[in-house]
Amino acid sequence: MELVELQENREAFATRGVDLVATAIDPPADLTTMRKGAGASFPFLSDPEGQLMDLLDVRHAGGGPTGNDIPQSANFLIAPDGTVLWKHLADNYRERLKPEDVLAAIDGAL
Amino acid sequence: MSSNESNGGAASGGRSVLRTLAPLALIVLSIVLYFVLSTQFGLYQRYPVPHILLAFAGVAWLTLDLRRHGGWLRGLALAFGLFLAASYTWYTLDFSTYDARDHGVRTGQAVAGLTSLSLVDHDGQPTSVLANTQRATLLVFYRGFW
Repeated sequence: MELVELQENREAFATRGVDLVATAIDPPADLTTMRKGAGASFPFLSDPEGQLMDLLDVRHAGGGPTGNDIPQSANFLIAPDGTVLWKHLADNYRERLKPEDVLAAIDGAL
Repeated sequence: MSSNESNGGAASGGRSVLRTLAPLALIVLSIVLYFVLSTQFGLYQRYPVPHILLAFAGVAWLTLDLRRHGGWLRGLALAFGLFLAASYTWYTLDFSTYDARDHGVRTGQAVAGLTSLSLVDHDGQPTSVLANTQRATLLVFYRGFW
């Protein structure tokens, strides 16, 4: 899913009781640029050390433009107690989920 | 040179350019079609075999054109076409692909450390990953600003 699509479907996620959080390895200044570019109102979290990607096991070692580690394209639906309710891992970053498919998966998982 | 010869030369030159541009266009079209069809309909998303075959058909066509008619411009067109087709193949089959075997974290499993993890947000403010204790969170891992 593109960040713009997430934003466009924000209400649909909200009515299902789901908060949106985007995360990348970039520093806050870059995240702010990305967030503004997408017109997003949900938070972007900076994960330069990869703490979050390691907890969820999505580190793509050497996958970045300078051989740095970045996360795989991945989506996780997490309950407040930290339980994984649904997840989707892409095996290449050309793959984009459609918001309607994610919403359908959430309906099935919640 | 008479005007007839000159016109004939221009027409043949036009056909000749078209003969070289057509296979180049085929290569570009196969790549553009991939991005349209795979993003819109998910067609051949992972292994775009028809698109790769089509792109290399364009390369073969350019090769034939060069062998039949020669000329450094055709050589250049072939080099460019080959570069496009090879880059596209490398990008789809290798560069943009990674190992996404189903790793340790399973659906239904509580992930230790997730509830206590705090990161800085876009404003530089420390924020819990699961900030809301009542609602579920959709975490979207984004590959970044590049």
